[in-house]
Amino acid sequence: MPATVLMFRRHRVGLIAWSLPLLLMVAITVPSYQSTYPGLAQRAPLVAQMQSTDGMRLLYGILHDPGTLGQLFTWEVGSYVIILACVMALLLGVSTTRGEEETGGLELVRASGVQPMAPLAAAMVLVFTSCVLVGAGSAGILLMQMGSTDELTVEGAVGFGAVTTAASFAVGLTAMLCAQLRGEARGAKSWAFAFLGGAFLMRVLADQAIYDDSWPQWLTTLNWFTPFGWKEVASPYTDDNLWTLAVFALVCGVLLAVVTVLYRAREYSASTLPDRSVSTRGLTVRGVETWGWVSGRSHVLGWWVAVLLVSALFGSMTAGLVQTLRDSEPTRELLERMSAAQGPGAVESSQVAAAGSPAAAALDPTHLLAQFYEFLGLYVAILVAVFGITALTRWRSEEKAGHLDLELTAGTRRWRSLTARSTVAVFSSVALLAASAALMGWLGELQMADDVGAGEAFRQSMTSTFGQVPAVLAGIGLAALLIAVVPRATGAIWAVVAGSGFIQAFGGLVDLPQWALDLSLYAWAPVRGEDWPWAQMILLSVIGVAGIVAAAALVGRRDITTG
Amino acid sequence: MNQRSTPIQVTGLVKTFGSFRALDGVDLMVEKGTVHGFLGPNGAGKSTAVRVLLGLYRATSGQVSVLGLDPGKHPAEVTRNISYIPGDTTLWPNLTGKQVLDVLAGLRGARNKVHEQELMERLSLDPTKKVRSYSTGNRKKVMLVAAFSAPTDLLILDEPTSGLDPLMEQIFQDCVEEAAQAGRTVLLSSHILSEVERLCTDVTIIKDGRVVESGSLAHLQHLAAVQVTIHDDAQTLTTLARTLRGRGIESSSEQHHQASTGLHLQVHRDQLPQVLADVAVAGCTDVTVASASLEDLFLRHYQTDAR
Repeated sequence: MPATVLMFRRHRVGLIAWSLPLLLMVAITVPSYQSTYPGLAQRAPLVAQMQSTDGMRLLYGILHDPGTLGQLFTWEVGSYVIILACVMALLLGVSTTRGEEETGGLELVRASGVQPMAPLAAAMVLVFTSCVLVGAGSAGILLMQMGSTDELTVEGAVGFGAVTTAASFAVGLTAMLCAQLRGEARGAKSWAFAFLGGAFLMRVLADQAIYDDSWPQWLTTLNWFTPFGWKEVASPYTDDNLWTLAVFALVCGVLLAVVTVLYRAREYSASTLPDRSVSTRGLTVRGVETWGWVSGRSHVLGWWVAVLLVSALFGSMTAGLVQTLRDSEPTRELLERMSAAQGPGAVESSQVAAAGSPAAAALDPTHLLAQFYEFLGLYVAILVAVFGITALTRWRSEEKAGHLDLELTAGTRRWRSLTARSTVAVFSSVALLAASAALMGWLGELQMADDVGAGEAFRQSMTSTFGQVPAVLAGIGLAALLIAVVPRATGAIWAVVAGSGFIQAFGGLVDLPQWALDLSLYAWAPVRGEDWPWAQMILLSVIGVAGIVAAAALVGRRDITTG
Repeated sequence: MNQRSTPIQVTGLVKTFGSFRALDGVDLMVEKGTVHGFLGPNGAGKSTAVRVLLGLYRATSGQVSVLGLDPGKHPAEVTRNISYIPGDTTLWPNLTGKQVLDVLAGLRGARNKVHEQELMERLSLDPTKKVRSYSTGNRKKVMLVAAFSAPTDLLILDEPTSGLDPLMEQIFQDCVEEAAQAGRTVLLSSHILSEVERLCTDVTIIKDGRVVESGSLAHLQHLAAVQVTIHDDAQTLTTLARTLRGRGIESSSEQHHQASTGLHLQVHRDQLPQVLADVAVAGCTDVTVASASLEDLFLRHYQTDAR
């Protein structure tokens, strides 16, 4: 019991930081669907289009007929909630077991007269609690929302909550299993994430086989074997196969038993599989610039793969989503409010609309495609901004960890050390933005060249996505300045990014005044065929470059602090 | 003072964090080719002073010159010729020992591979393992190899032997002596007094951010009080103690056996002839005179309130 209390005390921030935003996401989804698509009739074209778009099915699975609010929720946001809850359980599962052993915290606990099994039990209780928090919380919210619509059911809410709990707890236990097998938290995490990737792939294959009869039908059974497929098996708000929950509980029970047996069978801090972290390979480092790249390259490569995968996924949906935009006016309006063009372009187009422009213009595929890329460019830009900023703030993390002491006491100039990281951040994020824009443009070209003319999709994608370079630069420049001048407030950069993202995504929906909308870093990407916001683009670029230069000039004036 | 002969010159160094004065006018002179002990209780400000010497902290006021340059203004030029072992050895966990050495040498742009290999063998360090799987002692060894093998003039070692076994501690002491013989200067912060006693020629002791003692070890020992122990019967010792108290010398007595007891005195060196004369008059024959041990010398300063 004391071990459990300690575990909660140590991980309470993570627990709340994960579960609250997930529950918030659940809470806002149904009302926002409701306000955009009040009835099944308005939703019909959207549902039909979503069902036939391969990329959507790949990402979220099967959207069942007739597309009630419950089904729509389970399909789209429900998928995100389950995936994120699984990631939460995975991270907690590793850090409460192998993580605690690695840092030595568990050694103290084990030496304080608690039963050997107590720390593992505490970790399991913590992970289970977090999964229940998300699952039961979601179910509770969905039950409460039944008051405002008759498209939600009790069985559906209970089914979704239980599937979320079971799937995430199963992943948490799998992560703990990896933590028994591997001797280091990092290795255990990478195995657990590989499992998640495999689980996602199995779900994709199974759902494709359900959708397309020409695929081997035995593939559909794969959904039983992947936590991501359990949603389809239990089918909340559609078939409500609540009996399947017993099977999921059994799977969790078996996993729990296996983890317990492996834990009992090994020594403290040992692993079931032998540790192979031995290497005779050297590192070639010629000065701090190469070190900046060498120390950051795995971070860079990981983000590149992830962002390009996301770009490929969304790029592959181009034709389907443009079709949806044409057929569904509510979707069109929603997208317009959530896109980048809050600047002069938006004003101009709304003026045109007010002047009574022909409705045909709004349905022109070139216009629709531009809207789609504007929306996509915004989200890719936010992802890339997060990447660029983390590439730079690693310097501050290195400082806190004491690693920077080693670097700076080996004859390294401080401004060069920081600038090496800013340079990696700038070049790798600008190149990533270009690669992502080109990839989405090329995929759009394959699908849309006949409708909008050769080269148009590519140009639009490059304009809207690569046009976010000034915003990404500005984020990196501000982060550099914070690190150099007020290092303790480095985290404030996330308020800037999240605030800009929020203004951009929801500012239009909640009718924020124009000046507030203009504050967003990401509001100033150009749109092909409209006037470019040159002044703002230049200003953002100047903020970026000046921030990096000023940071280099000022970073030598402060203390290097650890801890 | 010649910069070449005094690699570290610090006068009136003050370092504040908000209202807290971590260093309050510290003076420190380290002569070339010497091993200088830098001592003080926990929280005295040793590591803060070391971070100022390395240019990691900016001095609030005072003059600091390391290898002839101000580390606050030219940290890179200064540290290029310094080997530093931090008190908390946090290395990059995902690199192997060898890769850590590659990185440190690569950043410095200078390396002595032969010396490095020789040190790895002497300290029996397996460089192929990842840092995260090393014990504390092995992490220390990686830093010792990096510090002693780098072609530098000055070594700043902050508790370099914590976590090392006695055999490795011995090898470390040999390395320090070799470095001093080769003309390198060593600033050694340590709590292991026997290590300081064996290695250091000079010592600076700081407490609460101020220097309380500084000079050559021999000189400090000379200045310190002498320990006199007399064994005799209780009556003789009581009379002697009274006589000495008359001269302002306090003594402590202890009961050994029924018959014999002991009397302990801390005597300043110039009072010693007078004390010995009194002892002779009292007719005592069991008398021991010893120089104050370093332990006594240091512990006197270590007794302090927590800060």
